[in-house]
Amino acid sequence: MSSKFDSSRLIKVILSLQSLILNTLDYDKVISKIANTLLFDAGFINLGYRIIVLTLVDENQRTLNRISLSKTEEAQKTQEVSVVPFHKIEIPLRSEGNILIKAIKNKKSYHTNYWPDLFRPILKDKDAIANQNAAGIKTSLVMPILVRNKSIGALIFSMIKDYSEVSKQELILIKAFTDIVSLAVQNSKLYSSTKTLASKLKVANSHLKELDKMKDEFISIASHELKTPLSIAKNNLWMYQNTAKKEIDEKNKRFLTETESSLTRLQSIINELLDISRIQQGRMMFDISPNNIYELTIEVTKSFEKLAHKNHIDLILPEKIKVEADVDPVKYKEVVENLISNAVKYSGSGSVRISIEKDNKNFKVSVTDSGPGIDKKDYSKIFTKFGRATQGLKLDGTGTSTGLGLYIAKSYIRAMNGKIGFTSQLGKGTAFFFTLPIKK
Amino acid sequence: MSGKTKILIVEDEQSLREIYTEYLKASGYEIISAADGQEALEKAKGIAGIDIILLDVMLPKIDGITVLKELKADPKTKKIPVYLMTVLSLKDLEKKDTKSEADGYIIKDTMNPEQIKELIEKTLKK
Repeated sequence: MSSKFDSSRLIKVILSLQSLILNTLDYDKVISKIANTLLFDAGFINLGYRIIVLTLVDENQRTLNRISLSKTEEAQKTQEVSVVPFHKIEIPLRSEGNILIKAIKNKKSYHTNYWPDLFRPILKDKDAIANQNAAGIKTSLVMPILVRNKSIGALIFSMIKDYSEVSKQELILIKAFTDIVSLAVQNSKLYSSTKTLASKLKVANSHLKELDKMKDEFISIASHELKTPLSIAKNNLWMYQNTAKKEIDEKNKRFLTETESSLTRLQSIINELLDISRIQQGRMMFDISPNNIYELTIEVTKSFEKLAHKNHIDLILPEKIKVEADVDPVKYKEVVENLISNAVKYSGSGSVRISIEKDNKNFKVSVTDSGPGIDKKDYSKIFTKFGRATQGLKLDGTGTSTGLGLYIAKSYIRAMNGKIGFTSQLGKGTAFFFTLPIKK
Repeated sequence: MSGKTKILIVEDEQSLREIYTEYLKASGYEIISAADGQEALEKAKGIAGIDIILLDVMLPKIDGITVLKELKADPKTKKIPVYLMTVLSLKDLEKKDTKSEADGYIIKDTMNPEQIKELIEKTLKK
C-alpha cells in the first residue's frame, strides 16, 4: 500500500477530472467516472477506499436521495444484501441521528464506523450493519457538497481502515474531489434543465408549426369556399342588370351598383388572402420572361385614368423610356397596380406621379402622391401583413383596404430580385418605389 | 351538321347551372345540363352531336378532372372541346397539369355569362 502521492500525478488526475466534468453531462456516468478516477487513477483503492456514494437533496420531497454508486466489488456486495434497493434509500431531511443529514445541515464533514448512522430511519440498525459487514467497511467519511455555501448533497467515502489511518493529504484530496463533484453536479443539473427546456421548446415549436400549417390550409380552403357563393352572387346580379325586362329606376340602379362594387371588393380580398397563402406555403410560381417595362407600366397607369379623374387626381404618366427586364408580367403589373391604387386612395385630391428611371444595372419605378404622408410610428407596419397607416385613409368605398397589398408587393419584388421602399413627408406626400435589375 | 349548337353544361351549383342555361338558351343554343361527374359522362357519351362541354372542376361523385381525362381518352368524345369551369385562378390551374387536356378555362368569379358566350362563339368559329 503506497501512502504517498506524487503531486504531478495528482495534478494530472484533477485535470482529467475537470475535462470529464466538461465532457460528460449524464449524472450517473459523470459521478461513477469521477469515483473510478479517484479510486483507480489517483490510487485511493490502494489506500483502502472501497465505496464512493453520491447523495443529493430533493428539494420537493425534502429528502436526501442516493444517486450514484462507485462500480466496485464492495459496492456490489452491499447492494446484494441490502433489504432496500440503493435508489429507494431516501432519507427525510428532518431525520435525526443520521450523519448525512447532520453534514448537510452543519456543512461539515463527519465520519462513522457504524453504518446505521448513514441509513436511519430507512434501514433498521441490524440491516444497516449487515450491509456494512457484507463489504467489510470499517469507516465512512461524509463530505457535504456545497454550492455557494448551500448544501446540495453529500459524498460518502467508505474504507476498510480506521479513521486514524486517514492522512491529512488524503483529506485534502477528498475535499478537492468533493469540490469537483459539486461542479459536476451543477453542470449536469444545468444540462438536464436545459435539455428539459429544449424539449419543451421543441414541442411548443411543433405545435406552432402545425397551427401555422392549419392556418395556411384554412385560408386556402376558405378562400375557395368563399369564391363559389361569390360567383353565384355576381352572376345573378349580372343577369339582373343585363337581362331585366323592365327598366330599372335610378335608385334601384344605385343599389345594384353598390352591391356590385361590394362584391368586387370582396373578390379582391379573397384573392389577396389566396396570394398570401400561396406566398406562405411557398407555392407562388413566377413566370419570368423579358418584358418591356415602359409598356407594362403605362398599361397599368392608364387603367387608373377614370378613377383618378373621378377623384380629381392629376395622374401624371411616366415619360417614355426604353427598359427591358426579366419579370413575371402579371405580378409586375399587380405591384404597380397596388402602388398606384394606394396612392389614389391616400392622396385625397392632388397628384399621383408615376416615373421610371434607370442606371446600368437597375430600373426604378416610383409612385409619388401628394397625400398626408406616413407617420414615423407607422413606418414599421407598412410592409407587414394587415399593416396600414392610420392617417389619410379614406373610408368610403374606394378607400377600404385589407393592408395585404404591400406585403404581397414586397414578396413579389423580392422574388424577382428587387427592392421596395418608400420615402414620406408628413403633410407633403409619399413616394413608394421599387428597383429591379434590367436585362443585360 | 344540322340544327342548333349543342352545349353540355356540367355544374353542381343549381343557381349557376340555371343562369348559364338560361343565358345560353336565350342566345340560341341547345343546352343539356348535368349536376355531377357521373351524369356528365353518361350524357357526353350517350347523346350524339354535342359541340362543346362546359365542365365544372369540383363535382360530386366523379370530379371534373377525372371526367375530362375520360372524355379525352374516349375516341367518341375526345374531339369535343372542353372548357373547365372553376373558381381556382390560372395560377393554381397551371400546376394541376390539366393544361394540355382542357381546351380552355372559365373562371367563374371573374367571367360573366356574356363573356362565356363570346368564348363559345370564338371556339365554334375555329
